[in-house]
Amino acid sequence: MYNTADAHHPEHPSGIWRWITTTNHKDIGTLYLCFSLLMFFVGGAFAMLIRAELFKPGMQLMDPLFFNEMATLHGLVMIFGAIMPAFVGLANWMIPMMVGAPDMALPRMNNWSFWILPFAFILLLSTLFMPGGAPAGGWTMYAPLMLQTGTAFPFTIFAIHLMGISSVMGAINIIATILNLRAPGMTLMKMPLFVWCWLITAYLLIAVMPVLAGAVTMELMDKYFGTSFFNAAGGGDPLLFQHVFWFFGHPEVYIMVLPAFGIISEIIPTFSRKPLFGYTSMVYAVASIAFLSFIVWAHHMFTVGMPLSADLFFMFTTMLIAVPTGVKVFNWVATMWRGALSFETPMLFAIAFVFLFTIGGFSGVMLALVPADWQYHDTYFVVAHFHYVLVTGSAFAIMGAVYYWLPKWTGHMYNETLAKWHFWLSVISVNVLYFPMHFLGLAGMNRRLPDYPVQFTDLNQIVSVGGFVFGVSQLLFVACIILCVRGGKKAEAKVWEGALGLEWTLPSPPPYHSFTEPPAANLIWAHPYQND
Amino acid sequence: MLAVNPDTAMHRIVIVPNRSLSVTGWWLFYASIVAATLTPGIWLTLNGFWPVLAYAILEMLLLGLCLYLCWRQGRYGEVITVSSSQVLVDKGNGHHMEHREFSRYWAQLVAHEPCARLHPRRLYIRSHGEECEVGRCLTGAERATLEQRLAQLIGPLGKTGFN
Repeated sequence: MYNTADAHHPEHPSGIWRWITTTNHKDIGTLYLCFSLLMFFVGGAFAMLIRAELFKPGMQLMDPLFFNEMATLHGLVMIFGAIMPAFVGLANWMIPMMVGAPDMALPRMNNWSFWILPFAFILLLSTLFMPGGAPAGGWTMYAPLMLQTGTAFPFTIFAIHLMGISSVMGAINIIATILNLRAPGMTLMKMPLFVWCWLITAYLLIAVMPVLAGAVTMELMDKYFGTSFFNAAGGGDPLLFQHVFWFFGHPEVYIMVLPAFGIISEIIPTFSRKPLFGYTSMVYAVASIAFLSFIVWAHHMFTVGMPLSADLFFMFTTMLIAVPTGVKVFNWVATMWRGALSFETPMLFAIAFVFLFTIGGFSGVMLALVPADWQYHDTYFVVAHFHYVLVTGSAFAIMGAVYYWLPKWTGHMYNETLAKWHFWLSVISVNVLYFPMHFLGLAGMNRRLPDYPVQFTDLNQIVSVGGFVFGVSQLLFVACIILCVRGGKKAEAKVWEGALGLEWTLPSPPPYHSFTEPPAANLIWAHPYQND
Repeated sequence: MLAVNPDTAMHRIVIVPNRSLSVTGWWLFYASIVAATLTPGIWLTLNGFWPVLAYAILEMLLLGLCLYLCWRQGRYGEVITVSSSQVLVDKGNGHHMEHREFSRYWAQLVAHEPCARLHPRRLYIRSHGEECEVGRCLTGAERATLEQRLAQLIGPLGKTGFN
């Protein structure tokens, strides 16, 4: 087997130089995860400012422009800085170990794809200090609103390009690793679900990133080079920006959710002490969701005045997504059914994911109905929906994954009591934060506004309190990680009794190069993913 | 992976890296992702949004290059032929082949210890000031098997198969 460890890392530098020059998948995974945690707090701080402003009706702390800047940066930072890098970090750490490879297939490109990110975000966040302020057109950057941005505009576009380049390079690396470096005997249908979900996610990323790059480049050209792609006065159409953006934007939502499905499909069998129910159907469900994600984009635009036939097409395709998603949810529940369940923190996060993500899924089905969407559109109902999907979905899956694999990464067990405090505070506060938003939306409170009618005050105060508690409780997450890195009870190679997969055959912490010899074939063939 | 010719008159060891992606698999994957990326790119270009296609083509070229490099790495191979008088080493990736000849009697098998604890030993066949690395694409365990086998076959102490 070709050994990437052989071709790289002639030395193993220490100190800061190690982290700058590293081509090791574990180091780069750690960098991604630390970066994403930092961005989670930066984006969270923006959210706290938003919730502080919305605590009372009227303007309290900031002017409306700054409120819009916070809303825009919160979205961009959380999506491109927190959720996506966290999944790439988990992929870096786990995929080579799961497929029996010594490292990623393209280690130097792996280093570049990470180190582009901090520069992209320095560039994006520096716009806060520029004349005219940071971008305030929302994370969707709709033309012509976005074109009103001041000096920050080209910097934002360049930052988006850098994030896109980083994502594409990460995706190419993941694809090359999964396709080329699987251990002998590990066929595609023997791969762990996390690897499958990431393979499909990487495919999606590669397919849609040029669309985002093209869309923002056209905005740049409209502003500085006299073109009229989205300028009605010059023969363009601003509405078409929304079509182009959401052709990227909706698969992007699945890019942030599919790896979470993979994580949950690893955690639930472990703590149910049963093989995953319906492995093959899970793979096909993920592939179906990925395919459908390309043909549903205009459900974000039901109110723009599309023809009825288009409305109906996008309504039906959107509702179709509920089928493969339902397959996944039922399979997770069936895996738990009659299993010998135990409720360690990763399992708690996984169960919370299944329950709360399903709430987000149901509100998604409601939003898919064209007549209902005319009422819900651009209200807090939508905000509640996508936060249930992205926070109690993606972010909870990431937290569960960190607790699940942290003992493997560090060689120490985390503090279970502290972790459970983190879980319960998070799960209670997140529902206090997002559930009342459904009612606010149904009652007609618009999103992206810094002020609101006085009758919405009570619910907004409850939401803000939930937000502050959720934000503060994440400090427990940081405490758990730091304490675990610094010490704790020694973790065994197979940290969890019911754990399946090659990564658990390596010692905890694993060696610098994961598999310098191919794992024994019988380990793969005995792998019980296909017991259904 | 090692394959040893059972023919005792001439020993041939073929070394190739593990390739989990077949050539057909490579083409199927690449064709499907090119179709998935270029179809919306072309559609958007027809609607006037040509920058999308430019980025899509650029990205497909980068993906193709990366997959090609991985595939080329997988085409690397070594053939070590040990006859009664000579040790022949042919290695390369098909386009760039390197051919080395050593006298079997004078050839030595040398193992270079790694500079760092986590890195593998490297095996060289050496004679008259020239040396050639073998088993570069093997893992530690496979390289140890190769070392054992070559130690039996070459040099004055080579004791298998020839008189």
